[in-house]
Amino acid sequence: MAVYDLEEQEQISALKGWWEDYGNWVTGLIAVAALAAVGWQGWQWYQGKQAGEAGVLYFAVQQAVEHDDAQKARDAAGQLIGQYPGTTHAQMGALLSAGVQFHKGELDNAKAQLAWAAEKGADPALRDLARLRLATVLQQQGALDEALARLQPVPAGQYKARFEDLKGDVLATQGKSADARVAYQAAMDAIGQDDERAATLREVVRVKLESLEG
Amino acid sequence: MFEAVRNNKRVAQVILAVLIVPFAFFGMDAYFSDGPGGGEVATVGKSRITAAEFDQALRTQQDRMRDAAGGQVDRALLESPALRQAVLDNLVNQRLLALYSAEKHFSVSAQQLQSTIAAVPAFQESGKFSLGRYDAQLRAQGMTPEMFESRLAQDLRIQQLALSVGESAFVADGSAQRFLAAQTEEREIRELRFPASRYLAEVKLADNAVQAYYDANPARYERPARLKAEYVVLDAEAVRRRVSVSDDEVRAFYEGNQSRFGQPEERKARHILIQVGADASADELAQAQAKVDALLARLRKDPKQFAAIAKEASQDPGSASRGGDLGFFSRGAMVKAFDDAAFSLKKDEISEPVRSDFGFHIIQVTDIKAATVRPFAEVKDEIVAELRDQAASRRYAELAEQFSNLVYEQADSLQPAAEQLGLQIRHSDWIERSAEGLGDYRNPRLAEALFSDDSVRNHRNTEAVEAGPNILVAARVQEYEAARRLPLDEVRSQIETHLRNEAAAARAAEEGGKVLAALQKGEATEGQWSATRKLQRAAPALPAEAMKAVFSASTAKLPAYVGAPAAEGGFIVYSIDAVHRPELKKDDPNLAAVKSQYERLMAERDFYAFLAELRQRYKVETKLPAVQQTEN
Repeated sequence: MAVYDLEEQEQISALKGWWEDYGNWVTGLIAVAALAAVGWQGWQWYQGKQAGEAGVLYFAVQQAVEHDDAQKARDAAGQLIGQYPGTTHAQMGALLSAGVQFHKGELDNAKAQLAWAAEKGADPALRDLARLRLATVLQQQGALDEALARLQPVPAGQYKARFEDLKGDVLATQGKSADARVAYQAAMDAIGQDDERAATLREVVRVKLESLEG
Repeated sequence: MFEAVRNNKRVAQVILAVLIVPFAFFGMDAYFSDGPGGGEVATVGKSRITAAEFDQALRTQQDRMRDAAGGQVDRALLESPALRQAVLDNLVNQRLLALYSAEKHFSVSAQQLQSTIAAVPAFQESGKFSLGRYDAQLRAQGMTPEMFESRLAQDLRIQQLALSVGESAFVADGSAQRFLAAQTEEREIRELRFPASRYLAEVKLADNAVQAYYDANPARYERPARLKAEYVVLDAEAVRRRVSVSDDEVRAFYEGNQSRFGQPEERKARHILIQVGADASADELAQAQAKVDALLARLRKDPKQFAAIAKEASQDPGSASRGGDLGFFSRGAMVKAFDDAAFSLKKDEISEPVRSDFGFHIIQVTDIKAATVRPFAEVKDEIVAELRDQAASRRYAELAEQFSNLVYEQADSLQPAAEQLGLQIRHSDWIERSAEGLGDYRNPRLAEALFSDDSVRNHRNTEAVEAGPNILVAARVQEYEAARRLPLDEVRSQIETHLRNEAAAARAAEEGGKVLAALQKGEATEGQWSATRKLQRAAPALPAEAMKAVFSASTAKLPAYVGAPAAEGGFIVYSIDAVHRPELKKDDPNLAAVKSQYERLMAERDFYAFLAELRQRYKVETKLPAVQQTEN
C-alpha cells in the first residue's frame, strides 16, 4: 500500500479538504454528544441515589404505620418531604402517613401532609388522589365548603367517580339535595355499566342517590 | 472489501436489498424476535408479555383453583375466556407496576429485604430466623437465594405502591353514615293489585295467533335429540368374578397365617431372680451362683415353698411381693433365655438356674393355656374373599386394558367384551345430551360420547369412560331420535294458554298503568288496597323490580305512587305513604363495621383507578390468543 494510485490520491485530498471545512463542527458535535451522554448518566445516577435514600425513609414510614405509630410516621414522612421533595416516594410517604394520622384522629397532621402531596407532589395521578383524601379530611372536620373547593376541578381521569361521589356526600350533608343528585349521577355515569369490578361502588352510589330527601 | 463491492455491484445490491427490507418494514426488532407480533400476548409501554409467560401464569392459576376446590373444578371454567382475560389483566397490572417502580427508581434496601425475610414464619426455627431453613425452603422451591431475593424485592416495590395508593385510604364518618342510613331507610307501602287472571276472560286471540306464534318460535317447541343406549360396566365386582382361588391357595394361606386365625399358646409362670449384671465380675458371679444354688436346694426339698421363698429372696421388685408370679404371657414376650426355658418346662416343674442379662432365674410354670386355632372350615370363606380381593385388585389394570381394547377394536358390538369378560349388557332409558350419566354411572362424558357423530352416525362403541374409581363404562347407541319439532296439534293448548296469559298480563299492566297515572295526577280511583307493609331498602321483600321502583321513587310529596309487574303475572300499584329515615347515633354498633367495609371498598377502587391511569400512561395493547381447542 505504499503507492496510491491516482484515483485514491484524489479521494484522500478531497477528504482532507472536507475535514478542514467541517472538522471543528464534527469535533464539537462529538464533544456535545459525549457531554450529554455523561450528563444523562449522571442525572440518572443522581436520581437513583436520591430515590434510594428516599426509599429508606419511606420504609421508616411504612414500619411506623405497621406499628400504628402516628407520631413516628409523621416525623419520617416530614423528613421525606423536607429532604427529597422531588421523589415519588415523598408523595407516597405523605399519603401513607395521612392514613394513620386520620385513623388516630390527628386530622390537622393528615391535612398538612396531604396538602403538600396535592400541591407540590411529583406525580399528577397521586396529586389527584391526595386532593381527594384532603377533601375527606376536611369533610370529617366539618369544613364542608373547603372540602367542596378542594374537589374542584374534578379530574378527567380514573378518579372522577370517587370525586363526584364524595361531592355528593358533602352536598347532601349540606342539605343541597338537588346538587348532590347531580354529583351522584355524574359518579354513576363515570363508573359506567361495563366494569364488573366497580359493581359494588356503583351500588353504593345508587343507594345514596335514591335515598336523597326531596 | 470496497474493491469487491465495486467489481460485483449487482451482487452487492441484492445483498443490500435483502438487508434493507426487514429494516424498512419492521425495524431492528425483527432480527431479535420471531417476527412481528410473534409469541407475545401484550405490550406494556416498551416491554412485552410473552405467550410463554402467559401460559405459565395461566397454568399456575388453574393449579391454584384446582387445589382450592380439592381437584373438582369444571373444565369449562378453567378454560373460560373470562379466566384467561383475568390472568392477562393481572400480568399487565404487574408489569405496569414494575415499569412505574423502575421509572421512579424505587429501591428496596438490604435492611428492608433482610427484615422482611427474617419475619417469614416458614424460614424460622423456634421463632428465630434460621439460615439453614431458609436455604432448605428455597431449594425445595428450586430457587437460589439471589432469585428469591430479587423476586421479593420486586414484590416489596409493588407493595410500597399498594400501601400508599390503596390501603391507606380512609373514609369520613359522614359518608359511611349516609350509606348505612340509606340502607336502613324504611318505606310504608300499600298495594293495589291487578292480577292477570282478572282479564283472562276478556282475552280474544286472533284466529291465526297460535299458528303465528308456533312459526315464530320454532326452538321452543322442539324436543331435543335423545337416544337409548346399551352399555357394559367393568368394575371391581366384575373383576372379582373373573378371578378364581384354588383350594390349595386357601389352605396355604390358612397354614401360613395361623396367628391370624387363633390364639397362640400362653403360659403362666413364677420366678425367683438373683440379680447379676451382664458385665459382672467372676467374683460376683460366683457369689450369685452360690445364692441361687442354695435357694434351689431349698425348693427341691419343698417345692410348695416357692411363693414364700420368692417373697423373701427374689430380687425382682415387680414380682417378689406376688410370690414371683408373672401372670400369663405368650412366646416372645420375655428375654430369650427366659422364654426358652419357660416354654420347655412341664407344668409345675422347677427349672435349673437360667442365666439372662438380669441375673439368675429359677422358673416354675404354673399353668398352660394351649394354642387355639379356628378350624379351617370356619374361616375358609373369609380367606377366599380376601384372596379374591387381592387377586382382583392385581388384575384390574390388566382387564381394564383388555376391556378398552375390546370395545375399541370390535367397535360394532359390545357383545365380544361382554362375553370375554363375563359382563352383562345393560340398557338405559331415553337420555338427552345433557344427561349426567348412564344409570348409576355418573360422568357427563358418557352422554357426550354417545351423542358424538362416531357413535350416532357410524354406530360405533364409545371409548371406555371412567365413571368412578375402578369403574369403566363403554356404551353404544341402540335407538336414536333426532331433535324433532313437536307438531302444532300436540302443543296447541300449551301455546294458547301462554298467549292468553301474556295478553291478560298486558291488559293488567295497561289497566294498572291507567290507575297509576290517575293517582299520580291526584285523581281519586277505586280499588281494594292492601294493608300497610313496612319495607327496608337493604332487606328485599318484593321482587327486585318492585323494590327498585319503591325505593327509587322520589318522596318529596307523599303519598307517592309507583308500579311494577307482579311476580305471578299482572301488575301492582304501590302507594308509598311514609318514609322513615333512621337517626344514626355516632356509636351505632353497625356503623363501625360498615365504615371498615366502606374503607376497604374505597381502598380497592383507589388502587384500581391508579392502575387504570398507568394503563393509559404506558399504553397497553393486548392480543389475547384464541383458546386452543382441545380434543374430545
